[in-house]
Amino acid sequence: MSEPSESLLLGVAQGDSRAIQSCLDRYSGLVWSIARRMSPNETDAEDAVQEIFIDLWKSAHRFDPQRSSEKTFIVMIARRRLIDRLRRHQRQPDFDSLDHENAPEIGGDAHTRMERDAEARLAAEALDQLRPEQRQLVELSVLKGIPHGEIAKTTGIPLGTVKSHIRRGLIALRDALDVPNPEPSARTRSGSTSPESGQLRGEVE
Amino acid sequence: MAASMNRPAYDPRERAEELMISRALGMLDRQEEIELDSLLQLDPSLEDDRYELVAASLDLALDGDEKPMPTDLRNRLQADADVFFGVRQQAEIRVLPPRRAKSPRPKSAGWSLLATAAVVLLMVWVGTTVIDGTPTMDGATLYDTVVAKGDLVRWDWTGTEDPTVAGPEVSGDVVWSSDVQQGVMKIGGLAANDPDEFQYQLWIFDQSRDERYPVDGGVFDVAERSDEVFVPISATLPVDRPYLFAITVEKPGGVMVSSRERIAFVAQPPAEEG
Repeated sequence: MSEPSESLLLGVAQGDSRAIQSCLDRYSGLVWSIARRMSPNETDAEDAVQEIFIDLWKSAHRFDPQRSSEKTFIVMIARRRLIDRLRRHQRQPDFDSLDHENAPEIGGDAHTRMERDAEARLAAEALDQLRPEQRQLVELSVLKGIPHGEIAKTTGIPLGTVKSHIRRGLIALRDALDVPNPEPSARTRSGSTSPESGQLRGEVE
Repeated sequence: MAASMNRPAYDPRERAEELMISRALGMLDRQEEIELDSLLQLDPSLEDDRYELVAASLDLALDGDEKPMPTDLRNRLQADADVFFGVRQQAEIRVLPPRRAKSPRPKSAGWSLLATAAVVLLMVWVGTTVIDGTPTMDGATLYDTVVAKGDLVRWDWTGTEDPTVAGPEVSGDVVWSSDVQQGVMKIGGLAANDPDEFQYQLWIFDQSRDERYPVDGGVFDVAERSDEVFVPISATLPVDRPYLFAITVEKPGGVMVSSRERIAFVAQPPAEEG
């Protein structure tokens, strides 16, 4: 079905069964890949994917096409849940425990891998504008989820410098991508779980 | 205090931004998480998911890989979605039960309620009788239209011993087209009901779904002196491989999950098909 991508989540928010099917068809592979990369094993990744899609069903109405593509929104929901799971399990994203086979290479030319999404292409271009050292640190942090302390140890760069490089890098990327501010009414988070209570927070409806 | 004067000024906005960057990268430790929660509670306007969107864009830019998902997991996602949206759909039905107005002379205060009910009924009717953009049509015409479609199931009704089954004269069938996701029930031999006492509800059992969660096919009534009625099926979840249709007797407005205590009619493939 050639449904326009941007209308999929709107349909999902309205409970449209065909939009739900299309959403699963279109994004299950992407979400599965991220979950495999950011989970310690396959079983954990499967549980995470189920949680991510429930989060997505709950959050679909928050999608704003003025702020991001549908794909980016879904990846954000997925990362949020995966990060929460890692924290809930009190596992800092431990590079050694992750599945190396599923971890993509870092430092290659992002453009050659990224022909698929305009927003991702913009991000790759913006990333290229960073200084090489800063770019490497951002990549290690975003893609691999390696703790700053671990990055500092591995690269020999002082921890404070690692943190400030990554912070400035993300601010630069935010400005380059020109992501609009959220609407005041949308300043609640959904799909994230408090580590202690396990309760969803931010759902105000 | 002297001690605090030596510290750099604590700027909540700047600090929240710093913490939200860490959050986007999954780097918040417990103390920082509490600190961010506290800052956002004090000033919700500080909440900003832009760094998470940036991180998501980078994730796509740097990897964006798509591995095929295991079939079993895909099926579980579908089952989860069925339950999630099925419950929501049922809850909406409970809020706006598609009931028929019964009182012949409504009290003045009831007019607006009746008008609302009429609109709801109209919406339900429109929603269930549009095929391929065709304008609404009556049940009998819709029945003929569905019958003309391919990929059709057409099974006769069988009555049970429920008191609503009016004698041995059970007739009619159910037709369903998975191609157009539409169907109609032709029903004869089901007792007229008082919608204030009970209503009929259709359930569709689909091979691709958990047997515990059949698809709700809609709540309906049978009027007095109806030899045969045509009822469009209102299934908002997809039904691909139905194996059983069942009409239950439920409280007014229908139910989210049927106890299946009172089953009036069932339709299923003949033995040689099954």
